[in-house]
Amino acid sequence: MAQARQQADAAAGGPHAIRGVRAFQVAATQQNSAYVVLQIRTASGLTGYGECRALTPAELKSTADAITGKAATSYEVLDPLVPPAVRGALNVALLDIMGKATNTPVYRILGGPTRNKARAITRLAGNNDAELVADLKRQFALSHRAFLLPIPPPAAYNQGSEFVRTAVTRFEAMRAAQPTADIAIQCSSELSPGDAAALATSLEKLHPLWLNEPCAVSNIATLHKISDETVVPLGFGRDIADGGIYQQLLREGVIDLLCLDVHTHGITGIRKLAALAETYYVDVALWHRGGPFANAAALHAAASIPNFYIARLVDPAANSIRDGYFSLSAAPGLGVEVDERALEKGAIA
Amino acid sequence: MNRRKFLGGAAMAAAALPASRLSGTTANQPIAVGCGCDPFAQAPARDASYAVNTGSNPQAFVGLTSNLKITNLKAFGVSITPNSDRPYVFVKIETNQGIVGWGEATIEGKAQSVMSSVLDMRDFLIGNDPMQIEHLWQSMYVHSYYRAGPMIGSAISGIDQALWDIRGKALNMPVYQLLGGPYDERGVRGYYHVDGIETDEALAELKQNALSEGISCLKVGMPSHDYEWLEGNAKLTRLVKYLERIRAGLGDSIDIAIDFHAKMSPSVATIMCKEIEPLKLLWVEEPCPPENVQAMARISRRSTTPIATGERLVATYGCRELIEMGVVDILQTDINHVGGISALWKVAAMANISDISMAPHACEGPIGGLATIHVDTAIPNLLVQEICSFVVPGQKEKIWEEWFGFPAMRMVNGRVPLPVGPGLGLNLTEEALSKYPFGGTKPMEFVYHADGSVAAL
Repeated sequence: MAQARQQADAAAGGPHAIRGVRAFQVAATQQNSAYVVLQIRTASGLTGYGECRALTPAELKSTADAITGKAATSYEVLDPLVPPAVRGALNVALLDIMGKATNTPVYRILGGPTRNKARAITRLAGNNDAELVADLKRQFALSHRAFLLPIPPPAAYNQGSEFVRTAVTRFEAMRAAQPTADIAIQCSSELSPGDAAALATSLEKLHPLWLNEPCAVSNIATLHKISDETVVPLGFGRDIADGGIYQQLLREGVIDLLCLDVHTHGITGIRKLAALAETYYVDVALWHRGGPFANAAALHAAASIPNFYIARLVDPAANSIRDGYFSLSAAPGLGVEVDERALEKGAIA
Repeated sequence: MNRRKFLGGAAMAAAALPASRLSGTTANQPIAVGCGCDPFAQAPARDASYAVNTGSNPQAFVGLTSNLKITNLKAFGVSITPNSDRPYVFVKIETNQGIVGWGEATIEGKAQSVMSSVLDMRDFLIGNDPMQIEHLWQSMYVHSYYRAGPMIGSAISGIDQALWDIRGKALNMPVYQLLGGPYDERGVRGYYHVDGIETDEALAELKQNALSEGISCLKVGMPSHDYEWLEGNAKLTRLVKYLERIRAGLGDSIDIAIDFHAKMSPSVATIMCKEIEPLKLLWVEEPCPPENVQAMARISRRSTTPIATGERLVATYGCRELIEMGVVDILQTDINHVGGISALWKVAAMANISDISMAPHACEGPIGGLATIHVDTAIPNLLVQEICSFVVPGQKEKIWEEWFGFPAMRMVNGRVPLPVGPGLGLNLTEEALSKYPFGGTKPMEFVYHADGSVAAL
């Protein structure tokens, strides 16, 4: 009987039962932090890849013990069985396998594409305004159209005058150098809420895209200091893994952009938080510090949700950008070509 | 008419009437309906400029779409009994590759409206890639302009289910697998309704039947329909004694839920919730009407009895406030109204972030029933699935089995087995439905207080 056969198949992990779980350390470069590539092989001969920030040999073993023999298609079911550090990577690797098994890009498994290209943002580098302007012009010539402008924090909290004046001057220098560039403000969670509010109110009429990570998300009530005093959109999320924190930020009305780390959330985690954010009329930005698998995962996630806004990928020069947008892959799975030999030297035992 | 009685009892006997008496038409033939629309005919052909004006623009995705194209969409009204207040509304979507998908848009008392609502989306959908479900869902919802209502929600639900059915067939996977499931290969825990338990003997028999079938949960209705907004001692005491008797009769190994049918005021409902706390019920459903979240919150904060609601809510937007305020313990959105598989999955994901469980409502036909089973086994926060039937099956299940070759929503060892095969796991033909032609919309029951004023339903 079909029902019995289906159950027997499932018990044996089905045609795409997980047969191998490996991980490879990739060293930091100028472009990316160190990260780990997770590789999943199936009985059907398919290989899927994902990325996470770090993975110990013990975590790798407990991952392998938990999922070997199980169906690779059960990406939702396997998620809670593995250590938190590897969940995002496992989700992406299993969706890569789903795509390869059905010969279709990951976004199509998930109901996409919801867009035909994904908006890009890049971070500006430089020690002073002149260097930042030079980098802006260089990256604009590479087809970037949106930029994260770093604003160094003041020497001490709540001593804002010099800090705010310097920031406004910096922003105006960028606007003058490239009037059509869109600019978001990168604060790296180093401001006090008061400093952030002072900065944002001063920049408000210059129309920055948003104020990114103005301060640490700790006591959410203090974030009202910023959101009540300024109408500049606020982005948070780089250190937030717990969905409940996003729920609080959204309920309190202190966030306008969920900045989700692909390594932390995987594609499915992004889709779930995006669904929550949708009901608050809030968009999602995607970013990570890793490599090509997380880049691809970000773009598949972007093409699977309605409320994607912008993605900051690593080494965007390696990705095709046209007039400020990444193009989408039409290849099966993640669509990433893998040099397995290059990975091998970083194998985690 | 008593809704529960209707579903399993007397009215079902009417299905045994000879087909010739029911109608002179078949599901394939146009019939006259009150809305002036023709649910079974194709909408008029559109001219070239119309496609541009609607903004339906598959050209935007050249190179990124599949080879599948939607070629046709049909809506079927299906009356398995002549006086049904919920003739099924099934949606069939056809593609250029021969793959067809089925979905369900049934909404009680509004069959003609929802068929029209489904067909309103037809011009937009034809020519699009059926795989782009999230994209098409957004367009159907947002471009409907008037949002989050049950009519548009039900129409989208039927279309969304049919698109998922196509996607599963195209990718050769059951829908639950596309969603990352199944959590349990054995199936999905369900609950039946109970009826006819007026005597202790009947209650004992129900307990024995349920336990022998592995059933771990049952839902009961109010002891009578005539509860008032501010109710007095006699009926409040009756309700408590009624539940005490049921708990005593069914024992502790069967979870018991009760549907208050939104009949009492928030405070009076809370009196009941507090007094039945010792019975440790699984939930009280719709203790007050669903529109006012603050009122529902007053109930849930004043009693430990778990509160469930949500069957009348549409889309994630309709559930946002209940979830963010932590008002309910259990959400019961319905796959035929909330926006189909896509929306039920999103609601479950949102609810899970706040540790809220799902007990999806399902009191319509078998296609939505199958669709909800796929979602149930792919979400981490399923509590139990409603099955709008009884421990002893009725005529309805026989007809479903006649259509599909299996009874769709019957538990085996306390679980609904997972559907088998790609997509939703059903094979349905228009011919099979033609035996049960659309008998027109019938209203839901009308309930009045003793003084003739309108009572909640």
